[in-house]
Amino acid sequence: MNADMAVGVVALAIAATYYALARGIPGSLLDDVVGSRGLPIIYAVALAGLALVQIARALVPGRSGAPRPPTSASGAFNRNMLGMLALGAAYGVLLPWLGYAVSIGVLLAATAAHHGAGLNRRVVLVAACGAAFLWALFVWLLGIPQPAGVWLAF
Amino acid sequence: MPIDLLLRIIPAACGGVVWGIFGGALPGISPSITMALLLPFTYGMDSTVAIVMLASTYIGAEYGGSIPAILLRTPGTNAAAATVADGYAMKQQGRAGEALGISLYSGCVGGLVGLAALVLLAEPLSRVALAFTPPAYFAVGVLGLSVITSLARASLLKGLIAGVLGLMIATVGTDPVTGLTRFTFDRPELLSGIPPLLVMVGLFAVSELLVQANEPGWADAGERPRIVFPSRQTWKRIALPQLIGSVVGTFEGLVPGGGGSVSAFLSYNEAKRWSRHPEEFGLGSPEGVAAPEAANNTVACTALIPLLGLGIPGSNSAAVLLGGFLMHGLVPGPMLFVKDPQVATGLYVGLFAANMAMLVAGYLIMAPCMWLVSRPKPYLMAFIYALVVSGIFAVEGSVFHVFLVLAFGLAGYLLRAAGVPVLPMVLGVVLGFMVESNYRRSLVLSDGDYMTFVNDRLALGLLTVAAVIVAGSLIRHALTKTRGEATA
Repeated sequence: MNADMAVGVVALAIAATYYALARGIPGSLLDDVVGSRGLPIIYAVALAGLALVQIARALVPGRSGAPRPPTSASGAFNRNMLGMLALGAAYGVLLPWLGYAVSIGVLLAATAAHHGAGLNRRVVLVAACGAAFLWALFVWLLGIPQPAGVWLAF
Repeated sequence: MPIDLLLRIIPAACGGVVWGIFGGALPGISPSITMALLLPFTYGMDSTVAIVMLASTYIGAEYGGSIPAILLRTPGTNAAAATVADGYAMKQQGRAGEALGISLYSGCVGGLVGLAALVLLAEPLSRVALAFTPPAYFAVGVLGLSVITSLARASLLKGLIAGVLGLMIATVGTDPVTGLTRFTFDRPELLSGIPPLLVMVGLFAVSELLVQANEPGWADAGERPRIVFPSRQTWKRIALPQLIGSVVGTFEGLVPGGGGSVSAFLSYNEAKRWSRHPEEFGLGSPEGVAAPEAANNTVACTALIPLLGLGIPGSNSAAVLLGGFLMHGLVPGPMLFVKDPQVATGLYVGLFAANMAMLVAGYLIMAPCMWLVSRPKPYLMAFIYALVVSGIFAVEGSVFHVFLVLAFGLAGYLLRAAGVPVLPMVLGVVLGFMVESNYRRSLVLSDGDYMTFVNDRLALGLLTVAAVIVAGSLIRHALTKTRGEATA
């Protein structure tokens, strides 16, 4: 399956799922002529139509789809990309427990190491300074509350 | 105006601009948040000085949003999203300094044009904005969406798919008419919908970080880019886009809800249409930076017209400014010019000073940005990632939204891999609520009569313009394809 076909198939699947969810939106006594599900259903039908055209175009022999610039994203998943996502997810999980200052420091060090800086004294120092700077910026200067972490309670 | 007041207004304008640039440059911190953070600090100030400082923050933040858009592929504000494509492309070509210079000067030009409109046309133009009805607002949204046909450079079909996906995302949350919840999956964080900023940060910034994870280290990472201000030749080239951006921004600013995002995308589209080099758009065109930056800085001034003239805040930032007015016992609206004329005059003077100060402050703040972008890639990537997740948590105060941004990042990565443009999706998200709410309000007010969109002259005119834009883009796509096939 080439990329153009994949776009069509995925869009069709999204349209079908979204349509099913839209049909499940309950009615209301306040409903207008369009209703809460009116435009969502129109969007689902429109997306399904576009997806079918996309699939039909991808099926035409000799049509390779519109040319696009080469990107390293071609080839989809790989370890580096998944590693970055995992680091972000780990930050989200750790944040309420370890607090902002520690979590962001860990994220800085882990991301730098993941990008090839290795895990050495310099990375740890940069991460510590970066965490202190970001904490000062958001919490102290801008006054935006960030999680302190549960470990401070002990 | 008393000299002592003038001497307090000018430093307030400068301070507001600097604060705004820093706030706007931080991904996730919108102009309205930057202003809201400043609001408590203005409590003890003279009312005119406080209003000037808040309004100057708005101007600074609109420019500041372009800095990460160009250097980090992360729009600091919603309005800077249109700057990403060409600004970042210029940065990749080693022309970051030139792009920042164009952004700064275009923002200044746009701000001054907007200020002129504010001063000269406030009352008559605010009457036009007053005439806008729900059908006209719906038509404005449709006009904004029509830009999608131009944004989809390589594949119109994929662009339309992305646009519809954006509209679908915009339906998440509470229904604008009935108050029912839709597609929230019992998550309280989704009750107010998915903020466009989250979608943008995910699609632009996080997806870029994911792409960069696969790339080797930057060849020019050790090279420190030099600030390049527009040359005479560049000025000639960006003059028309600046004019387009200023005109579009002037009219969009008058329309409550239109805002900097719509004007930036519309002006980008118009600049491309009128350009002698439309093929360069998206690939590092100076015009692609000049037009949206002029537009969103124009809006920063013209959005104050409905606020000052009618007391209607046309945007989040204007709403925060309204809060500033009320906090100081001032009621914006027609009576403001009668009861507190010194506030309006002081604001005009302050906004002029802010635009001038932006040139200096922008120059001074560029240097640290240049330093930042020339850091070794692993540290820069780590810092950007940390800044993104910190900013997102700061906006919503919720870990759920951090995960949401990561999901949009993955989506953006896959869309890019499949050659689907992400800008149409952003436009759909930004305009979706406006389109749906006004479409349905129009039908409620007309008892379900669809002719309301034809009978309303403003709506009809705007829809006609949208149809012309779509038709023009379709013809252009068809011609391009025909030429391509003939060449092959």
